[in-house]
Amino acid sequence: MTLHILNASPFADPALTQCARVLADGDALLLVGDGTYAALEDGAFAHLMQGIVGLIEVCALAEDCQARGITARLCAGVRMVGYREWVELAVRHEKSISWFGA
Amino acid sequence: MLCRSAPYGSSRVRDALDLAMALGAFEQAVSLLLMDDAVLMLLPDQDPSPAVSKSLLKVSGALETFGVSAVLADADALAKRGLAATDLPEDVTVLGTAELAETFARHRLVLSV
Repeated sequence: MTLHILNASPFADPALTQCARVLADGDALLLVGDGTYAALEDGAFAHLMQGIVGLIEVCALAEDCQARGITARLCAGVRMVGYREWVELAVRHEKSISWFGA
Repeated sequence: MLCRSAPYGSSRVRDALDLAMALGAFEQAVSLLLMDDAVLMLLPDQDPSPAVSKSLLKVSGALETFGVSAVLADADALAKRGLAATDLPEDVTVLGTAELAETFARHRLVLSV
């Protein structure tokens, strides 16, 4: 039961790919900052993201998606959340792992 | 502790080593997991100019003395960089993907540096 927080663009850093290797049932993935680009529906990582959406809960920070103009371009099944829900996700999971650009 | 950065390009690996040793010195059970370019800190023959940095491999050799339980390295990251198990210090444990997932599950807290 881990909350994975991704803030690196998958186009610049393998953080998403590495995170995907260790996802388990009951985990959740939260996309923040440039990590939100991982959910672009026509992007190179859409296939991977769809697979992840089928496995665990995937959320994206609404403010960061809006800032980047990608709110309407995200893969189906990715849930928009605010800071309050981020806190709720953190509380609901045993631990968090941060995946940022190396 | 999870480290994914290359050793000399930033201070992250050095910071990770310092923090791991500090935690170990205070008797916290701590393991250091290296993924992506961070596995390059395990290369032998590192010889940085003393003005720039200490050899991070030598620093990592002191981890056990400071109570750090394990140094773990991602097998996939090693293979991508052409490193073999024989290139690594003896006390490094190499993990496949299933063992990586198990390692994350087993630890109560994961600190990314």
